Amino acid sequence: MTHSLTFTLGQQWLHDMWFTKANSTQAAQTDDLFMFILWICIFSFVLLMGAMFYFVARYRRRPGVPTIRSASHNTPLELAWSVGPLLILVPVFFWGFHGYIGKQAAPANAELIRITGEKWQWSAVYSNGASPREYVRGTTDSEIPVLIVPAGRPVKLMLTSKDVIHAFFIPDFRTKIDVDPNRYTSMWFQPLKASPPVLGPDGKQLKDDRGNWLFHDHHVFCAEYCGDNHSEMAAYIRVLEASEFDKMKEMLALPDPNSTPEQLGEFYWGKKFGCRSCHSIDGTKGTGPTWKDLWGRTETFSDGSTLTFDDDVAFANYVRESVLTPQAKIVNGFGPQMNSYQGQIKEAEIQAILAFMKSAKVAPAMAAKNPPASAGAAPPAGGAKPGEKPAEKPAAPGTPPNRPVPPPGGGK
Amino acid sequence: MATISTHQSQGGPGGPSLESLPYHLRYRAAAHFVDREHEFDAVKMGIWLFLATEVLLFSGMFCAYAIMRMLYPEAFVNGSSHLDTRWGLLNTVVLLVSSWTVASAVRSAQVGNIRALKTHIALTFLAGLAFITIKFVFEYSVKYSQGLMPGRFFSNPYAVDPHEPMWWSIYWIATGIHATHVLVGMGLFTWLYIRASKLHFGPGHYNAVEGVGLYWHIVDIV
Amino acid sequence: MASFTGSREHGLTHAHDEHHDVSYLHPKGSILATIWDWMTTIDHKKIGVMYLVAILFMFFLGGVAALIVRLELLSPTAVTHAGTQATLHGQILQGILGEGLNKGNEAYNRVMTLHGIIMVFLVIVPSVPASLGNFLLPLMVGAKDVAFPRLNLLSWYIYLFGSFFAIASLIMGGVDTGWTFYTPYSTTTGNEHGRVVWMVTAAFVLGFSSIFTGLNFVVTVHKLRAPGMGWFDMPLFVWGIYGAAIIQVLATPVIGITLLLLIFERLFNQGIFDPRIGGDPVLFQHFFWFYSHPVVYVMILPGMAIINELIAVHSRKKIFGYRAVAFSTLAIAGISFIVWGHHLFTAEGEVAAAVFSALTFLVAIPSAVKVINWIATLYKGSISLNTPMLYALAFLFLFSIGGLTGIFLGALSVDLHLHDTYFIVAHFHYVMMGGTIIAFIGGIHHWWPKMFGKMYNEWAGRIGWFFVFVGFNTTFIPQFLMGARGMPRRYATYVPEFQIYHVISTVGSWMLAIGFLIHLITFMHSLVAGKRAPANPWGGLTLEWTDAASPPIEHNFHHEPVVTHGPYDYDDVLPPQTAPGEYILPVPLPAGAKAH
Ligand code: HEA
Ligand code: HEA
Ligand code: CUA
Ligand SMILES: [Cu+2]
Repeated sequence: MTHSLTFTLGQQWLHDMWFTKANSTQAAQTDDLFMFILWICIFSFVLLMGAMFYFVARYRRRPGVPTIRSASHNTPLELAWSVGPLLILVPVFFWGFHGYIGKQAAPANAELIRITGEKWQWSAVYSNGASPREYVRGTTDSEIPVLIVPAGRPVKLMLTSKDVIHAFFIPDFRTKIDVDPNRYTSMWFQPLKASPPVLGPDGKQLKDDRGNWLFHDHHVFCAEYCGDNHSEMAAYIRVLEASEFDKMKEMLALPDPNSTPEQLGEFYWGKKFGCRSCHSIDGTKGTGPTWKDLWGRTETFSDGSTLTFDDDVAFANYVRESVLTPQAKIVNGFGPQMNSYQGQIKEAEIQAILAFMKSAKVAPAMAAKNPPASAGAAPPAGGAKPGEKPAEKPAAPGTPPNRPVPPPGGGK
Repeated sequence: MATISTHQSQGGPGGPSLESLPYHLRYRAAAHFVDREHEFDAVKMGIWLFLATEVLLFSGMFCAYAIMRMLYPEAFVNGSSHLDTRWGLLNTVVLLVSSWTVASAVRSAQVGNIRALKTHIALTFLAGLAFITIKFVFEYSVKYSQGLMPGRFFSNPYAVDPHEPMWWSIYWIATGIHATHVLVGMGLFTWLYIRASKLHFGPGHYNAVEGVGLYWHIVDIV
Repeated sequence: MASFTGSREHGLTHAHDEHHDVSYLHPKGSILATIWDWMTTIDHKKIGVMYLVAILFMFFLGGVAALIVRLELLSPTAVTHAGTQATLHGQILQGILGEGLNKGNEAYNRVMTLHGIIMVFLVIVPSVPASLGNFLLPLMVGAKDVAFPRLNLLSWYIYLFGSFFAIASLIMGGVDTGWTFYTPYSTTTGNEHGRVVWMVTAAFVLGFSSIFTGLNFVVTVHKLRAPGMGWFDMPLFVWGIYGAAIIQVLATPVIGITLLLLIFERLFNQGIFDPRIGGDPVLFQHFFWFYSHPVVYVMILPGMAIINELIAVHSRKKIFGYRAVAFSTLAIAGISFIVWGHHLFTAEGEVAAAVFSALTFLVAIPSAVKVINWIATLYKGSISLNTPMLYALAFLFLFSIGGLTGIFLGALSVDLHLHDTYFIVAHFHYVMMGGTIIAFIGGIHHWWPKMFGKMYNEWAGRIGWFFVFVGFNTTFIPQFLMGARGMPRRYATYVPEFQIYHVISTVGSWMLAIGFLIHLITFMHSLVAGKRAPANPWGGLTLEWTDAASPPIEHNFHHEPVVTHGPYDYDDVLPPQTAPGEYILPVPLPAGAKAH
């Protein structure tokens, strides 16, 4: 262990019963204080309950035995047990405050990552503008991003939300912070060790069914209730050795050379901009119109005008307008729900999305419930290719997550 | 204390000899009180507690106002510049006067001057009416026609600060709650007037007058 | 002179011509007339009983919602996959939730919210004060009624009215905001048929019921105590209810205005809490907790109030350190107003967090004082382990766990980890269910003979207790563990490593249900076929036992009680010794007995 737990009193099992294995410099402080309070509680609980059970057994009502007179108050005694707990709590307060400050103020040289929460996904931008590319399929069809962070270096997160309040919670780092729509909040941590690979029985690293290498990643949960898929608003944090982190970060900043515009568009729809949370491509009615068979369709708008999508230029202009100023035209039967992507989306990205929309005649593999398996190329560890069609096996009933579950603790 | 063994409910006939007496003299406290004074005490305490909750209700509102004002001083200055201070001032005066009339009403009840009591109740009621009229005719309708409405109903074209609708929300909610209280008070004065006409109040029994009076004072202050 | 008034002469069966001398339960002629009499009654006892029935019904509803929540959490993805999964569990859930399931996790969120809202606003806040408090407070202080009986009836109808709004919202599909209504989620989530507005209105209306009840109690305690009853001669039950009533009166108006602002936010986007137009959603959290933290003490103080009586009566002992216990009630009520920020440690600045953390530790002290004093009371007592006493002991056990886990949450750096995990869920169930509800159930058993004039079956009570106690711990201990290991709350689906904890917890909830079912049957049986209760089955010394019949007559007492001894003077006013299980008849006061 790289940190010392003073207050396990040698009872490591007691600690392990309560906690997963920690992997940040501040976590030890929290675990320590927790164990300290736990021992206070065990002590006072056993003392009081011991007395209670003893009295109940000793002074059970017995026929013919009269009640014994005894004092009904005793000022020094009562004072003692009022002040006693107070004195115990004073150090708990200071210790807790100290640890809290330790979790708030990041060192100046910290690696900055910008996090945005939105119903119901996290997105991240590294200090060089790159974003995570590897996604893992969650319990339902949600796509969970894998964030990379460097081991042994402070990392500062700057967080904000696009809609309601969320909270970024990393159990293995023992910290969380609210993510508000009207301000930026921040948190920091310093991971201790790189996430170890998940090894098979033959001692080799395993891959998931999309061909991505598996690591013992740390869970990130959304901890502030934010609606339907609150429980699926997750992320993984993968700690890389610092040098490897720098390399990977640079790599993620480069465009992926191998993908077609359609594949890129699908990536933007499904992952980067999360269009899929409102626009299905299998015909399901969502918050916004489905993209299935969009090309060739005639839409009526709330102002009564209509438009048939058979002309490339008109179509492109319409989509562009809808992305940048969504309230300009509202398709009949839908509400003005969409946020503007002005300033967040590049022209090239719109074009890729256009290509994808046109191709969305028949639902591609990603939206189908049980897509046919197809082989995907094996990407390097830590980064899937963005355009790659994820290869999926039909999910066996009862085992929804496609990903082998790391043993509790996320460590070895 | 043996005086409590009455089982008559409030207002019940108290025997033939009492019939002739005015209500406030034959009035007996409800059965669970020792006597009228005891009941009066309890009622008064209840009313004070109720008024405390009213004050707290309003202070929540003021708190929201203060915080929003701190955040958006511009919007709030702009917003309040639309307020017509003359009518506001007049209304304050109206309410102050009504405070005085209601105090006199209580005093009249104490000394048993029923005529004065009725006059003062009526005057207070009229003051309330004047307040509401001024509010609606000279303030609300003007705001309405200028589109100075709360939140999404705001449609004033001359707003300079995007947070002005919020100011107007607070304005409408706060004055709306206040006006509701005034209306409730007017209802209570009507009720008092009817009871006063039936000679229900007098030196020994004026809980209701006192209570409504206290309520009215609080509404005035806010 | 305190005098016992036998129930035999004035019992149910003897209709006296003087109507006020018969049991308050005595029917008024025809059934219709009786119903009308109950509906228009201003008798605090009848109002208390009506509240009791309504609250138990709501508890049942909330409990059923809890069982559904637990059923769903039996497997990591029950909701979303129930349709496609061939498990029995998935099919049962689909049977219960029907079409809702197709909407994914939303069905879960609604049931979870429903559970929280029912349990908080419709059950636990009114629970003890409105039912037992209404029934007992006047009896205990020797009054014929509460200070404002008609206001009391009004509170009851406001409660019904508020429940009606809640049910209306439920019928329109329920809400999925969580019981905390945090903005901006609550102002933007689906509001078909105005169901969110209905629900918030329900909470708003219920607030008035709470204010009026509290106001009534405060005045009653101040003005209607029997001659001879000084402040420190009051039973501690009265102190507890009094403390809670003060908080109710002072804190509820703030939630009133907050909910009103929330309603207006929905109706015309006024923007105070809406970040899109410059409002501050965190402001809502401050407003909400300014009420809702004090309100957790509105929940627990009446529970503690009951425990005083149960422990004193069933161990025949004066509560150790009466004054300390009484003053700690006031201390809790006072400090409770300034700790609300401890719910916002992940949302506020450092200075505020530090202040609120320190104050949180301070508010724990008076609770500690109470718990320790109760245990000291047992010393050299004469303890009988019947159902109410078993519940009192369960309270000490469970509330201590719940309270002590509050210490973890008050410690800043630890709370950053535990906030919004199942550790919190377990904490508040240990204090609310393990504290208040356990005390409430114990209190119902304790005063059952007084309220209905019938004894319940003691062994059935004990068996029910056993299931509740064991089931409760089985349900919520695993939640502490999984919470500390990172399981967030309000999760319809979860990662598989938490499943084992959830399974144990769900099994526990079934044991709880069995326990409550046993109690329900016991009570029904008692009403139909219970032995007639003597006026003072437990040998209590407070006025409702010594001076009132079981059930009490309409005006409570035949003669105005005069208090000549303290509520727990068992040393001076010797109750007769009897064999265990044998019910004690009227407490004869030795001629020389004097005030303590
Ligand atoms: C009945 C209701 C009730 C009661 C009595 C309490 C009592 C306490 N609560 Fe709890 N609390 C809730 C209901 C209650 N709580 C609810 C509903 C929530 C969550 C709401 C939500 O988010 O949905 C909550 C959440 C909550 C939080 C916020 C956590 C978070 O969201 O991050 C905190 C933080 O400080 C806290 C602390 C405490 C403390 C210190 C006490 C103290 O008063 C406890 C005092 C008692 C004892 C200490 C035990 C007895 C004493 C001894 C056995 C003697 C020995 C003692 C010592 C040595 C100290 N509670
Ligand atoms: C008084 C308060 C109270 C009580 C008593 C309970 C009781 C229970 N609660 Fe609840 N709970 C809350 C208040 C309460 N809860 C609150 C405020 C929340 C937060 C909501 C939110 O996040 O917004 C919550 C959330 C909550 C969750 C977390 C949901 C989530 O975060 O996703 C869970 C999960 O297990 C749960 C379970 C239970 C269970 C199993 C019981 C059991 O103890 C229930 C046992 C009761 C029964 C089984 C009833 C059976 C009755 C009978 C059979 C008849 C008996 C009838 C008579 C005696 C008349 N509760
Ligand atoms: Cu996002 Cu919960
Ligand atoms: Cu609190």
